[in-house]
Amino acid sequence: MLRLNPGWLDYTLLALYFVVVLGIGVVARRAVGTSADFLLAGRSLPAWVTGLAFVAANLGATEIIGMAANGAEYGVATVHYYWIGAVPAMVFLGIVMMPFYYRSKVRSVPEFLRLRFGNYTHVLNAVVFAVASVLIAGVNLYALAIVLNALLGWPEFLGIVVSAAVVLVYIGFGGLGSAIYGEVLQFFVILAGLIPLAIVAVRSVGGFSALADRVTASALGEEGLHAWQGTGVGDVTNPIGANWVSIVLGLGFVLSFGYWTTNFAEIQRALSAKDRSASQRTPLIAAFPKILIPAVTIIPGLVALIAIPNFGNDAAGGLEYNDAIPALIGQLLPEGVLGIALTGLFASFMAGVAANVSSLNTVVTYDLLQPYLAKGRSDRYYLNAGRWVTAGGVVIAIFTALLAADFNNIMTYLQSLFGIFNAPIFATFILGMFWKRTSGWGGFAGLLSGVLAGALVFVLAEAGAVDFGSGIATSFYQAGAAFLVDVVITVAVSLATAKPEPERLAGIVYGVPGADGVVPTLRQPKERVWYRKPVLLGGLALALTVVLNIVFA
Amino acid sequence: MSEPIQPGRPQTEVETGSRMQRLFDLRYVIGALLGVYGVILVVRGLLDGPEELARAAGLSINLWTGVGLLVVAAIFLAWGLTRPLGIDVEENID
Repeated sequence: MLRLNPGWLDYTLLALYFVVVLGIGVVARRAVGTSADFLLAGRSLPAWVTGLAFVAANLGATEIIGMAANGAEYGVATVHYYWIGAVPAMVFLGIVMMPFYYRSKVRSVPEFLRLRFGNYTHVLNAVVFAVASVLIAGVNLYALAIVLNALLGWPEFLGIVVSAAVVLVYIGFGGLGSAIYGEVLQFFVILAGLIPLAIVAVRSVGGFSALADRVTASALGEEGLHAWQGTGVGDVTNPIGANWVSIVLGLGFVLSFGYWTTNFAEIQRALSAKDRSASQRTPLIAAFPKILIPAVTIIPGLVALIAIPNFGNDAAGGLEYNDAIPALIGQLLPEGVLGIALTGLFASFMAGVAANVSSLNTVVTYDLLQPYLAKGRSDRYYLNAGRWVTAGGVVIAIFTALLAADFNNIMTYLQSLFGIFNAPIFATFILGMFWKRTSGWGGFAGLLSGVLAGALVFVLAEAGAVDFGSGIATSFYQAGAAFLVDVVITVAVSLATAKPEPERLAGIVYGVPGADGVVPTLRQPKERVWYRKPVLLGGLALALTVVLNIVFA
Repeated sequence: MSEPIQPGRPQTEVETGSRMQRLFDLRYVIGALLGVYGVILVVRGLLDGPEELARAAGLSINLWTGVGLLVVAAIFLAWGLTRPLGIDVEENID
């Protein structure tokens, strides 16, 4: 039912894309002479490039397919993942945290923890990040394999291996530089496929008002059209199955701040910007596309729900939620746009895996090999190591992809991982950046106990010992537990242990002057033109989000 | 060519990536790819018969997507031509 019949023109469009992306990789290879070229891409890129790469790194196949699945399963309330679960955290990153990251001159997020808390926290975070990266890369691979299987009839295993090989060639050549350039290109191709799909999808069911009427009459009901209605505490009737407190605190605060402000796959893009102001603008520029992307993911999800018989009803032999976008592509798009949409899906897959692999190789090389496992080698050694890590990461991701095949809804699986890994890191960073008293042992104990707490809630919920109502609600509570435990343990252990040495704080903690005499504060860079002022950009993004939340409440 | 890396210390001098940027201007790559896509879709859209139209709910989606792509491509090419790399206005840091 999902099978497409792409014509020669569709394959031409797809092939053209591969030629250009692999071409970027080959050309970028000429710019790679040192490990820093390969793993960092320098600090030279303009804000619009890093900003679009920032949003594209998160616009993987899992995001597109998973959010359309959520749209069909939970309705309009899926917007919380964007407007509550991303934009405030991106603005916070750009205005509050990015100045600290950029000034510290670190090459990775774990390296910041090393400067601030010492080696134990550093190793813990670097290892956890490396593990999470290959797991998530695997989820992305699996997502593409499903698409290839459904649309073109490729066996899933073949799809996984071939896709992995493509990304390996592409990142293996040019490193982070080609990953970032590729991501910007992917951003446009993804939208060039998804926007026409959303327009045709709405038209095919008779326009927006007909869509709304039919969603109301569907299993989602009236509240499937509302983000906030039916989310009262103790009286949850909204399909999202979580009350507003757990949405705001669990998703909006803990889960999303953890992801957007500390996930190195994202921060790496902002760190490669050419100056502090551009690094601050990176997540702020990214916030604007992020606000609008739900239109091209949730709408196809809703259309699939009402237009495809038995959609999401496994028992009746219907399609799975994850099939929303592939199914609509097959039903609605003619040769031509079909090729663009197919290319967009490939592109979105590559964006996701490229981001994971290009951050994984940096962390393994600069945070595990160079300081601990293989100290003091030549730069050529680390450059080659970076390339080998890239290859190794891709191979492990292939096995992860086979593991991910057991989960029904990819997004819930991803959120579970983020809940375990990211939520506690945010607590550790905030305390580390703004509370001088946070000690090395405090940071370490807090982070470790936070990860364990998140994992415990996940295991208990999987085993059926506790029940939070829905998979999404479970991931909110899990993130909340990880965050709270991290804060309590960090504060308690910090107060019980010795004050950190002054050199651990210099230049990276709020109000503590660095060796260069500069005191880190939240004073914003002075820019003459309005579109370069971080606070103004952030304010605009937040205002737009508030308006949209009211409109879709 | 390659600068020595000090193990275990944050690298304060990473000024290498500008080479990547000097190799090619990304705006031309975006403009070229989207432009070619746009031309292909416009031509395909003009040839679309009733079957293609019916599939896309009566919308000439190939044509309109092609036009949209050409507009975006033109913006990037115009931006690249009017503001070439290297004369970017210096920004204030801190």
